[in-house]
Amino acid sequence: MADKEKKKKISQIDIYKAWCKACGICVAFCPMGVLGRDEGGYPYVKSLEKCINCGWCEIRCPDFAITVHAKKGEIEEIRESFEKEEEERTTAPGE
Amino acid sequence: MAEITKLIHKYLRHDKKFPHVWCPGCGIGIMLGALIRAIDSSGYDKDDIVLVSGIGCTGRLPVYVDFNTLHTTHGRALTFATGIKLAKPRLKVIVVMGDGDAIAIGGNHFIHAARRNIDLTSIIVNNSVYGMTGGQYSPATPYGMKTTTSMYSNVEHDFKIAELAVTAGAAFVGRGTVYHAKLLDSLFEKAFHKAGFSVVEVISHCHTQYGRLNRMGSAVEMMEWQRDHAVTVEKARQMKSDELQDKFVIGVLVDRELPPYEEEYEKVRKWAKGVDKK
Amino acid sequence: MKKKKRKELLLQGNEAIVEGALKAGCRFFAGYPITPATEISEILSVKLPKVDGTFIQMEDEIASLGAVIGASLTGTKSMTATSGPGFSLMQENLGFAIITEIPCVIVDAMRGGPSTGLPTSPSQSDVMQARWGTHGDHPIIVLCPSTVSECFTLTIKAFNFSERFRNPVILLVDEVVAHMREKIAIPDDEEIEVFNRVKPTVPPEWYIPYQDTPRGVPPMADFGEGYRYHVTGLTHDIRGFPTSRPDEIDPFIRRLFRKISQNFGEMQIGEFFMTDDADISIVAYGCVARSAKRAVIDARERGIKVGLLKLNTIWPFMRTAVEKLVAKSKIVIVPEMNMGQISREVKRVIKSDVKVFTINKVDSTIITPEEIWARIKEVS
Repeated sequence: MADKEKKKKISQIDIYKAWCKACGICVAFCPMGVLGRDEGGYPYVKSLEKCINCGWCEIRCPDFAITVHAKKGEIEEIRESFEKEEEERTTAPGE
Repeated sequence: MAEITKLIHKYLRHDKKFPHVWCPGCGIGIMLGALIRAIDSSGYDKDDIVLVSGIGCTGRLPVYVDFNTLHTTHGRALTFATGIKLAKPRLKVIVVMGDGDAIAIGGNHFIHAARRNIDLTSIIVNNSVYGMTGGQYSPATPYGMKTTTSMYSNVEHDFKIAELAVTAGAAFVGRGTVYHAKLLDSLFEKAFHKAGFSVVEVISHCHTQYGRLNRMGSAVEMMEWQRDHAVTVEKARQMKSDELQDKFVIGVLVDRELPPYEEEYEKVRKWAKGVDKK
Repeated sequence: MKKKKRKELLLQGNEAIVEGALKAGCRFFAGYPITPATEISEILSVKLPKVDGTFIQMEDEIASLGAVIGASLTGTKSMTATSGPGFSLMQENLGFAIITEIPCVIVDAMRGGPSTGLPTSPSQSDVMQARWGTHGDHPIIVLCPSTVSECFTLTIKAFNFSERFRNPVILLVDEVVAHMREKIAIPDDEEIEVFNRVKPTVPPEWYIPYQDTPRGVPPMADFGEGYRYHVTGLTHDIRGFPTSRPDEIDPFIRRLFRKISQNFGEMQIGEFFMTDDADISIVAYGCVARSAKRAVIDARERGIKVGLLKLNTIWPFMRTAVEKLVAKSKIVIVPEMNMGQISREVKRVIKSDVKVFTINKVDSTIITPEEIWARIKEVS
């Protein structure tokens, strides 16, 4: 790997609770164990940094209720955009 | 990957009530996602797609998507689709059916549509049971399984849908599972681009009825069963038949050049009009 | 200006049905061989490809009507032809065409029934099946030719009604009329009125596929023309999506019926023959109407004033015509080659003290003028 310190990609995982039916498929089939199930059975992001952005959760969700995409760019830029997303996500679309 | 869901939203009918009607964890939603991704990457115009379905859980699919959609009578989807395709061949006609819909009451139409090799794509969601009506056995229910109409266990032997389509004459036949969602994308795309009758059998699960009665666990466990019992076409070739005993083959089973029915009938029109005399 | 001599042909009833269908713009036929309707399939298999149409022989009658409905959805006028056994198989899809309001024409060439019955013999015993064959409350239009010319004209009418009211129309023809040959004068194209379904003029975004209109018939968009709408056999709302709301279901069912009741007058096709001064009137249809005409003439020669009301429209039942009939005649005879499927309707409609007599011939042979004359003598 020429440029050794590879730009660290952090994924953004959005869970669209209005459509999610807590079936547990995304949690079960995430290869990296990124997701956990809360007491209601609904998925939540347990360890985002492990996410390798493979998209298995998204293409296996029967209700299109989870999306994951890689955020490219510098670590700092990531961090402050990360906060912005955090705040955006609290107002989930279609709530 | 988020584009996938943005993309799916592009094809959904948003005035419909979401989340959709299927049970939590049902495989039909996964198949629908693959269907939409395959349609998008195939570049078809929404106006040119006709999505036809029969009656059953799968029958409720077209209502959610923004195409020309037709929800027909039980088992008869392929006959309506045949009429549409012949009357307006430029339309891309896709038929979604359940296992009972396609090969029980619809079996006669299924084998004839394949025999005619009319240019339709037929997607059959096989969850081995009549889910909508509460879990009765279907011609795809394996021997010995328990269902609400075979409580002493099923003494009938099941059709292998994909293999049935191959012998009936379909030009393209593939099988996938809702666990192998990525494979469904490519199978659907190949099926769309195939001239002639293309069939994709999608092994799915009904944990609500069938899974519960046969103690097969939740949707997750049933999808793991699919993962552990599916064997790719290539791998199956090196396996001995007894190893394949409780396995099923996924991937492209057949992909052959056979003249689609509408092109053959175009010849009839020419002969009828005296062009290149028959 | 001397009337131009019309093209005259000697045609079989089934042939005339085909000519009528083609003139009406039928460009798709799906069928399955069955006596006594097979000629329609055979001739269309030759003629349709000539006019860039499509003929297909499906695996059974269920599939045939399914294909016809599919083709009609793309904007193509479509038809199938069968007889009793096939017609019985078609009932579920007929109901689908009714609830989704997709125009199509179904020819039922009646043979002896029930079941396999008498494949090559005539009967008129599918009359009630044509009305109530498919399940659920539903409107239907059923026309019945009694001459080869009427086979031609009524097939065109069937397509026109089907397109205008977005309702399947059944052409009920008995084996005699279907198989007999008769001279027929084919009118020129200008003389033939052909109706095409009303298409939406609003852009796709505003199109509400099943919205009520003054005539009760919503405009119908073809599949593949940009109006991506949903068609389902489930009871649906005005947007075509399934509904379980009573306040949407009731108006929907009533609109289906209103399409027929509101245009009832226009659907009444028949002929009053010498009924003005008739003491006895016959109500007949199909091949029996031919014998009845003969009987009327014979009776009058023998001094009994008899008239005939010939029904070309079987359903909706020609109630007003029968009422007009009994204003004068005090005795009505209903000769039928069944156990009284129309005479029940005549009795239902007649409120007054008019007596209704029937001839119910079910021995596979046609009712003759002599048999009707015998009955006239008996009742007069």
